[in-house]
Amino acid sequence: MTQKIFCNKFCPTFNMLLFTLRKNLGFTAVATVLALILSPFYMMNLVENQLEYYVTEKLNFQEIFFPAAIILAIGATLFLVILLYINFSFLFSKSASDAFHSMPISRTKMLLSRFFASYISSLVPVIAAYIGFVAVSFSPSVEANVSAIIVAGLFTVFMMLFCGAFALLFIITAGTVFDSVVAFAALNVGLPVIVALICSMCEDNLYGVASIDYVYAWQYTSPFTFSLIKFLAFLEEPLLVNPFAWGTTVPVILLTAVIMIVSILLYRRRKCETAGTAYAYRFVPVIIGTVVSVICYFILGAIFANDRLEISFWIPGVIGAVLGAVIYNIVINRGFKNIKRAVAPVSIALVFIFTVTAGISLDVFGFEDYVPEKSDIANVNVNYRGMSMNFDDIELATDLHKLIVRDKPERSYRETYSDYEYFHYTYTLRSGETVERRYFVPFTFATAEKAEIIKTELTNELERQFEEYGGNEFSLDGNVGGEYINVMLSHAEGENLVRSYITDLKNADTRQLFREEYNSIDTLHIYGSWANAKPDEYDYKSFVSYSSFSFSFRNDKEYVNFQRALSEIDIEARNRAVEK
Amino acid sequence: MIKAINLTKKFAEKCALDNVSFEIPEGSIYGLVGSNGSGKSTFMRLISGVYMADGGEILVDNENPFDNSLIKSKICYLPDTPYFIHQSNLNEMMRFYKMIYKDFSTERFEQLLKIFPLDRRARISTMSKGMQRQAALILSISTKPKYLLLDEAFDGLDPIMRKVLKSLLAEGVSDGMTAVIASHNLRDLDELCDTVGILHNGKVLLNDDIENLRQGIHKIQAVFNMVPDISAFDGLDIMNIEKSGSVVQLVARGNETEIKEYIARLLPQFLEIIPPSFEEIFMYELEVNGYDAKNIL
Repeated sequence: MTQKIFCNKFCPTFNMLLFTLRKNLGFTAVATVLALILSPFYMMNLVENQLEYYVTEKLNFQEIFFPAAIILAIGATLFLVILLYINFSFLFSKSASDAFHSMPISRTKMLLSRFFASYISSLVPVIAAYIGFVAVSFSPSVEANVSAIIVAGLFTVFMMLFCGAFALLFIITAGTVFDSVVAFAALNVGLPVIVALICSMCEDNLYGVASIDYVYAWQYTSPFTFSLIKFLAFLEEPLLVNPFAWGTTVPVILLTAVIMIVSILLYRRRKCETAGTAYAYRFVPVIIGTVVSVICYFILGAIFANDRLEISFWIPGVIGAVLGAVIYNIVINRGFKNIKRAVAPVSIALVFIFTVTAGISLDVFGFEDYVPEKSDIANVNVNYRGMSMNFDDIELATDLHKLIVRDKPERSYRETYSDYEYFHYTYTLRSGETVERRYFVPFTFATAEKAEIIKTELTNELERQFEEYGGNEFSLDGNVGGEYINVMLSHAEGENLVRSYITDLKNADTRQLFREEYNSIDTLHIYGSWANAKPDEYDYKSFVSYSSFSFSFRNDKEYVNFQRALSEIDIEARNRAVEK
Repeated sequence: MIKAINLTKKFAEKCALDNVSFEIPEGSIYGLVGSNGSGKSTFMRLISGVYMADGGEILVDNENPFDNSLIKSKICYLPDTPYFIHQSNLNEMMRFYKMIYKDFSTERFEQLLKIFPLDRRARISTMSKGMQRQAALILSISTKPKYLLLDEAFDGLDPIMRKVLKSLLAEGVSDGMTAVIASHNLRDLDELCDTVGILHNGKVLLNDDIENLRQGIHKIQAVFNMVPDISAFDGLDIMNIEKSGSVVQLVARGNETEIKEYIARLLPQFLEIIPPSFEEIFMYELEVNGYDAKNIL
């Protein structure tokens, strides 16, 4: 083997890199064969099967590429992590540690050479598979976006570097493979779990939480989740999503560099005598113990209190936290020695949990009372009883929002009521940001102020929709007295119904708008059907969703104009005719 | 030169080396002995740059060897449990060493392979303990280091191979190498080493030229008609004294002539001074510091 490179200079670091690459050859060969089986061989087979199944001459390659690319990305990253463990296994054995650390190679160079040897070895199967993908994409039976495939490949190798650097931290800071894997699993699984638990607590305890995008929250818990979620987003919409946008690429590059620098600094200070012990650094079991403790707190608290922030949550939670830390301590110490060291992670976990739960209980960030400033809002949509209202008058929308927030029920009351009105606010701010809120306003909190705003906007919305409607016909469907209704209405009949409804709405009082009696048995919807719908347009438009107001049209005499308009249409007779 | 200045190394609560200071001169064979857990291996690992000192300094050619690739290129450390790449044979290990150690000599390797009868193609993991040590020695010596550190060098070697190793080390030293040998085999060190250091409980008890040590400690055998009381010998720096009938055997530090004159004043019938072996010096020094089989049992 040649040792001299670049002007005949002897370079043990480069030689170590070559040596490690050679040592990895067997694993790399196996991984490459597996990758080639996936692509191109399995892909070609899949193309043939799909063409036969769908009886088509051309297949959209994206449909079969998506799952294959994900499998390959996950498999390749896993392979990289395994190689890192293999190539850094000298850290976990006293004799190997003595040998490697007495060699005339600096620790920085030793780390970099072993890391990049692992990374390069793991790239080989990825490159082989992507050559296969591109080759298959050139098949005449396939319709494919080759540049998207190449971008997916580049993104895969980019994210592998990020994930590999992160995995390296767990290897450097541990003393045995087992404890490294425990820490790795605890943090990469534990953090998303904690995030999910906190999000769930916010959903259950904060007034106005719309829906929490758990995927969005999880993507920032670890490079692995970040990479996977970004990759999935790109594969779903390769033409719309740029995975190498500055907002993604620059932070990832910076983070990768920071992680590598931290790894180098930690490794340079790593004590070789920790080989064979659980962890090389005392802060690691504290961090991991804290994560385990937090999760166990929430699990026990949730079992007994169902996420409610009360005494039945705190006490079992504290017991859970202590148990979690103690069990983790027993695992890493292989016994009950040093059990007192569980105190630190339990204490940190309890402080963290109390801070989070206090923050949620007291709403320290002002989430519940937040209403965007009118000047910051580009547009606002409120979904009310299935009706989507795009407020032209933004101040009207924020006034209603402020009223809802002003009258928010006490926390203890929120779990008790089952009759409510539902409001879903979606603000698009001028900055491009979206703010969502969802409220369940109990009927008992109905006020005339709210009713006026709702009435005003509903009527505006209906009138606007009707003016914009370019169709000819209407349809009326629903369920009346257990009988399914589906009849077509002429333009005049439809218009008459809608205008009558609007008239009644303008005259409705608070009680009529907020009904306590919820009767979902009878429902009626008025839809407009566009006879000449343009391509890519929906061919119906919903005007009135009668069930939103949830009362039997037969019995309620209050919407008098609407009742009269309905009676002019012999719905039952027409429905029977349709059935025949 | 290797220099330790107030060197301290701790493992959790235990202090493996406690403020240790001494020098190992260049071009010598230095024997490092001590009781179990005295800090010998720790010291070797500090010199070779494996461990980081917690206090004081360890200097090799006036530089700290920790994470210092230039200094470490001059050092080859062979620990008590040698490391071999998984499933490797001697040829593969030779190639590995050649990639890492710039001065690795293939000629020397081939010469040593003729001396130590090992199968270069056999897996090292299948070899006996002694053969594995021979393999490790071949590789280490072939790196032609300036400083060769051997921890338990003779462990597992038969008497013939020990003799061979001693010759090789002497040969290496004559070429400018410095060898530091940690061992419990004091007889072999006695024959081989120029300078020795004795460690006990992380401290240096003795660090001197072996001849100076022998000249400084004397074993005396005297026969008396009437054996005097022990207190009669208080004027001497006694390390050990035993009475058996009319015979008194004592080990004392000091000038040989002065010791002889002192005992002669006690009118022995017979007086003989025997040069102590290194093993005896070691045992007596440790005994003075309370590390004695009688105390343990």
